[in-house]
Amino acid sequence: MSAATAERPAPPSPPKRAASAKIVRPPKRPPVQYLPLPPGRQLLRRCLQMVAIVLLAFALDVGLLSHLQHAVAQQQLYNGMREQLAAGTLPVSEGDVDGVLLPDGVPVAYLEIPDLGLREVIVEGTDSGTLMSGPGHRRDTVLPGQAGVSVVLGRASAFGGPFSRLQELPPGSEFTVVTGQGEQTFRTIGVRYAGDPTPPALQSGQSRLVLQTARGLPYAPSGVLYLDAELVGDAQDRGARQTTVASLPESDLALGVDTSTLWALVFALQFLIGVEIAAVLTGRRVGPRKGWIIFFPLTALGGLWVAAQLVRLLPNLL
Amino acid sequence: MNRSTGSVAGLVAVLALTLLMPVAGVSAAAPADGDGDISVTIVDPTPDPTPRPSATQGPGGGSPGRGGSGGAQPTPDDEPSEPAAEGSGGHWIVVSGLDNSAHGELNPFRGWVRSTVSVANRSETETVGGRIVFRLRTIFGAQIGPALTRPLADIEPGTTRDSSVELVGVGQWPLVQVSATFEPDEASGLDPITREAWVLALPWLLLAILVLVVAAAAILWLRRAGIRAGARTGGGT
Repeated sequence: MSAATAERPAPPSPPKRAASAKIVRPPKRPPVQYLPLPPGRQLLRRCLQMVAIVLLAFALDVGLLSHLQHAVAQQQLYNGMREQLAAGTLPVSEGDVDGVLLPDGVPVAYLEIPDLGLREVIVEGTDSGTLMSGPGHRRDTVLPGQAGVSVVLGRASAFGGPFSRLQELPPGSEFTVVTGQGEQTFRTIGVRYAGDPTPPALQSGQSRLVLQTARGLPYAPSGVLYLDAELVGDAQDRGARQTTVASLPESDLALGVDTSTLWALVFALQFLIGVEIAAVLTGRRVGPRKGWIIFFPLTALGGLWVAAQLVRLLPNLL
Repeated sequence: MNRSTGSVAGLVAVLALTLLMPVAGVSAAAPADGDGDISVTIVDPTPDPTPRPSATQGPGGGSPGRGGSGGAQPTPDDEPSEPAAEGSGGHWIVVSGLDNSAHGELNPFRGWVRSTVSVANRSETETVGGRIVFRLRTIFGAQIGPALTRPLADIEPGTTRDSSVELVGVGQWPLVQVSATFEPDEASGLDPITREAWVLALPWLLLAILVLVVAAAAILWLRRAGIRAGARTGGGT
């Protein structure tokens, strides 16, 4: 009995969880300590940071946010226009139903070009800020379909670029414009550039629509493109116009630049600089990481505000 | 204190720099069409000196109300004017915009653009002839390949003629400019009419090289990261 006990193998020993299985990590490297920048380089770094913020916000605004802004504005304009059409109050002159001069940006017509897949609400006014919402009707001309020549301007690249493919519209193609006087059908005459021969003068009771946009590289216009179209059918009565070609601001002409909002750019820059100064001062107290967490949203907001004001200073057909 | 003062001074400098940007953009954009004052002037020989209220029935069946009201009545002088087809001598030629489509090829230095343009003679009696010259240019303005000429003889009044060419040599240019100039016969007395358009082409070779470089960089980075992790693990055993 005792021999059998002696021959029994010894039970396996439990695995050791001692220091032999422990991974010995190399000692942590001390954080890299850079020498503090001299004041001149610190200044340069801050300047470059701000320029980079503004440029990035500008690219973001023009390349992405502007198209979103245009889509939202068009949806809101379309909703409002449908209500006015149903109520029969859509303006057919430069005044509203109460005889008050139309402000910039109110809907006056609905343009549909099937060949280009284009559906846009046309608003009153043609300065840079107004054309962010969609194509604009030049105030000194009659509305589309009324006896005379009507001029509508639209952007070629930014803010949806509604007229970017205008050049592709072949002569003879038809499109429609809905105004407060009903649906007007136009037939395309053709495209022309500045300096090309213009169509002959209109006869009595005829109506023509001229669509204008920028031509050249996207976001770098080199001129104006005109698309002439003639009304198919009878022209409508003309509405009263208070604005004349002499009183139309230059900012409302093709490729016009509106500098009336320069003051807003100054305020936006002041805000951005204030945020930057606060970020610098706060960063010294709470550290750069916490400073970025606190001030990144404000910096982004300031950059976008500056970019939005810069975009308004660009030509209106961009 | 010095650092803070320096930062503020830098920010002021940036303010001045940023303010100069739009001014430069304005001055660059203003003469974009050559004369610096771009506008369309329109002829309307039939202005109605006593316009009737335009309160016609809208599509919704309602009445626009006093839509035609709103102040002073327009006079003939209120309407912009536009000279009609100056110097055309009774001709009225309309050249359409360019219809372009880019096509790539396996040969990275070839590639081509098909371009089509229409010329319409909207005169009532005059027949017009001429030719169309197509050109392909790089983004820097250098012409690619020879200009292609297509004759367009005897365009009858009220008719439209199309002309289409294939411009070869797009190569790896991502953006090329196509231009077509209609040069009428000298007898017509018409000036040449030019149409231009930018065409986006896919530079497949450049893109392939870019993809390969990015992939190689990613692989190298992953290998180095793996070697670093292995060294750490190996160093502990």
